[in-house]
Amino acid sequence: MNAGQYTMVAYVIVGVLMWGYAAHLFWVGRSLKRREMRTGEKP
Amino acid sequence: MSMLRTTFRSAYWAIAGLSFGATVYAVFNCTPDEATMGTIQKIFYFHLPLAICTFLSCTVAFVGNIAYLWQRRTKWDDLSAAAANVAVLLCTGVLITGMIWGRCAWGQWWTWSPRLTFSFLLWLLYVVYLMVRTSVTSPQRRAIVSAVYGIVAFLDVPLVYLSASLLPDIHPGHVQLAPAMQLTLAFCFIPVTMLAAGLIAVRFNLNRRERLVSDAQQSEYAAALPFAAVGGAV
Repeated sequence: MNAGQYTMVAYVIVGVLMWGYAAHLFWVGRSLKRREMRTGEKP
Repeated sequence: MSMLRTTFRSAYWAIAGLSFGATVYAVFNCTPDEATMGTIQKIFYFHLPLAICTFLSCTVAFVGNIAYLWQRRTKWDDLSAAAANVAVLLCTGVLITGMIWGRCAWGQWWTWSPRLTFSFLLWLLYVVYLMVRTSVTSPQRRAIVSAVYGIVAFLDVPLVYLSASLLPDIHPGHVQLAPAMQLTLAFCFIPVTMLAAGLIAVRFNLNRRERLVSDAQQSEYAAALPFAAVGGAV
C-alpha cells in the first residue's frame, strides 16, 4: 500500500467509527421507544 | 415545541454530515501536500481534532463525576457515562489514525514513546471505566464507584497533553503549517466537534430515558411482588 491508500483507509475508519456509532445510537433510541410504549413512559 | 426540536436535530445532523463530507473533499482536493511527509500528512487534519475532542469529552466526564459526588443527582452520572463512551470512541480514532501515520512516517505501527503510551493508557482507563459501570448492579453504588474512578482516570489527560513537550518523544509536540493547511485544519474542527457534542447529547438523552424505563419496570415488578408472594403462600 502507498501513502495515499493508507490515508484513505484512515479517513474511512474515522468515518465508519463516528457515523457508525451515530447509527448505533439511532437504533438504540428506536428500540428504547418501543420499551417506553410498553411501560407507559412518555418518549 | 417537539416539532421545533425535531427540526433542530435534523438540521444539526445534516450540517454535521455535510461539513464532514466537505472537509474530507477539501483535505484531498484543495490542500497542498506537505513537503517532507507528502500525502500521509493529511491524516493530521482529522487526527488533531479527534485528539482535542477526546480531551474535551474526558473533561465533560470529569466535571460530571465531580458534580455527581457533590450533588448526588443521576443526571451527572448519565452525563459522565455518555462523555466517557464518546471519549473511548474518539480515542480509538486517534490511536488508529496515529498508528497509520506512524507506519508511513516512522516505518512502524507503534512505538512506546511517552505520548503514545499515555494515549493508549487513556483509552484503556476509559474502557475500564465503561466495564466498571456494567459490572456494578446497584445504580447508586455504580454511580459512586464510577465517579471516583473517573476522577482518577482523568489525571492521565494532562499527562498526554504535556508528555510530548516535557519528555523526549518521537511524536511532534508543535507543528508549523502553511496558511492553506491551517485553514483546512480549522475547518476540520467543525464536523469533529459537532459530531462529538452531538453524540454526547444523544447518548446522554438515551441514558436518561433508559433510567426512567428501568425505574418504571422495577416499580411494576415491586407492585406485582406482594400478589405473587400471596399467591405463592396460598
